Amino acid sequence: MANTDGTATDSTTVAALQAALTEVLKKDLPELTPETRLFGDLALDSTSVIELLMALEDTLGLVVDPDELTPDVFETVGALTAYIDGCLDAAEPAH
Amino acid sequence: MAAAHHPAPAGGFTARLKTALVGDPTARFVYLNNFEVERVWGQGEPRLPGTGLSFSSATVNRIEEVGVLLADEHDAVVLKDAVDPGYAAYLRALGAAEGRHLTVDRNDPGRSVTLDALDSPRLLAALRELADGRTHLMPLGISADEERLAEAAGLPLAGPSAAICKQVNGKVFSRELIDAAGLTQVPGTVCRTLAELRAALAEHPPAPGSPVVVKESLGVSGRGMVVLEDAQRAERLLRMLARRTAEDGPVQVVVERWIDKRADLNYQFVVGRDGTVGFETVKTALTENGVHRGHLFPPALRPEQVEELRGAAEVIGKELAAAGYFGLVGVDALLAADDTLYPCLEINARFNMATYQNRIAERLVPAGSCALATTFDLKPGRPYSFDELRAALGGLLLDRADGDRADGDREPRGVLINNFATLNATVLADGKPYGRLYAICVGDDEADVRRTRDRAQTLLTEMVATP
Repeated sequence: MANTDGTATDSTTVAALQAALTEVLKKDLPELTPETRLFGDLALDSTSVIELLMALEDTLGLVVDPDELTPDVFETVGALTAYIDGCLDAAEPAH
Repeated sequence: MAAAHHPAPAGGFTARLKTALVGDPTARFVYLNNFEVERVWGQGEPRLPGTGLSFSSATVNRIEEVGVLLADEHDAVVLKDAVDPGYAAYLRALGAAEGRHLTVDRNDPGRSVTLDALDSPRLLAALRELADGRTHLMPLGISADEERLAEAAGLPLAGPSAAICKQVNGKVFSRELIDAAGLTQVPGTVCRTLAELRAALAEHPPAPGSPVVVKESLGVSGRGMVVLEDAQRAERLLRMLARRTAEDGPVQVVVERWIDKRADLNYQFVVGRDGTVGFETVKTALTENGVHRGHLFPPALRPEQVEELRGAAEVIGKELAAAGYFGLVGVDALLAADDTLYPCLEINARFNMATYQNRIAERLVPAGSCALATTFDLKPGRPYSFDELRAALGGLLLDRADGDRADGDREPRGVLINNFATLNATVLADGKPYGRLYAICVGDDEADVRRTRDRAQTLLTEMVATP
């Protein structure tokens, strides 16, 4: 979900991430902070990554390049939202 | 299994393996335990997005230490790092690890043992010195990396070419093999293009309570897959792939109905160089969401079910031999909730965790007892020594082959640690508190070994809570 000026805000991304994680993990989540660890705190596992990407691509309209992904991207909520925002910015045409 | 308390007889697992693969039960094997060889087989193949990530590579790359349990006295094992001295002494006292250990020059936690070995002039020189015409490199599975290492070490591989291994390890290959052989097959299909996947998901639509699983042909076990629980998720997957490839673009997956199970099973057999098939073991495989968590043996199967699996092994083994493969084969099977036995969900033409239990089980899991091969996921804040673990487990540690029970029962009982390096691998690599121990709990029956496991989990969790 991008704003009218074409850039996603952090809060939009975090909300989309919260919805995607809730769906993938099938449980209510605590409030996410940038420091929340996806594997350590939320118990995401490696088999769920593709589902998480499927959900994020659909809701945010981004396309992740799997060759660019590194495990660090999934370390914390902050790392993943920064990566997503980077993808959304890169997808915007230059003004 | 009368040999439980004695060195393996000439007819033990390793002697059978050597006879089948190189024609000499006393040949020397240099074991190279390259876990996740599928990563190399899968390079350059079409993937499902995000499945190629490795989140615990430092730990996974140290599972290779489990290979010390296969080595007979004259064998050798290539290791990424030296075995903890206390752990080495423990295994030696049990007669569980008798071979020579050869370590790489520099352990790079992010690299496979094979890549470390290729970058190790000192190790390669030591391996070349072993070449005597009856010494063979015995990897977990053979990819192009192991072919390069065999050449650099001047040792022949105890197996076929990487190209053959890659071919027969594909899930597309095994599905087509099972179809052609007429064995009971899980409903599903193979897909080589996006259009074929679209058609397969239309033919086998997922619905709530009736999921469908899409597996990469050469995905890492339990990881290169996605379970689709409803039509919306199927559409999502198709949209995700359509953003990346055309309808006739390459996809290499199998689509299968998710079968409600009574038990996952894993059986092993050896296909000899002459095409003969030797059945080894069948165990209950413990899985969560398709991810391997351990084994329980003996499995709760009726004799005719075991016979059916033995028959399937013969059929599959003959087909693998016809494709040029010889070596160890592990097959995942499934006993459905409705009692249907599906004898092949997946062929792994390589060693698997069960293989590394074979030699030690001949010594320490006597007939009439029960074994639970399991993992303990722990959060160590610092590296721990094996001696600390020994103190933490106390009498629960299986540390005597002849047992020590006061009631006069001399059978071995307790927790046998079969991989220690994975406890500290990630802490040592990057300071993160994720560790794993592999163990085999030996006891009287399933309830007994599960109690033992629970007690050990408590004691180990307390251990890593001590600063």
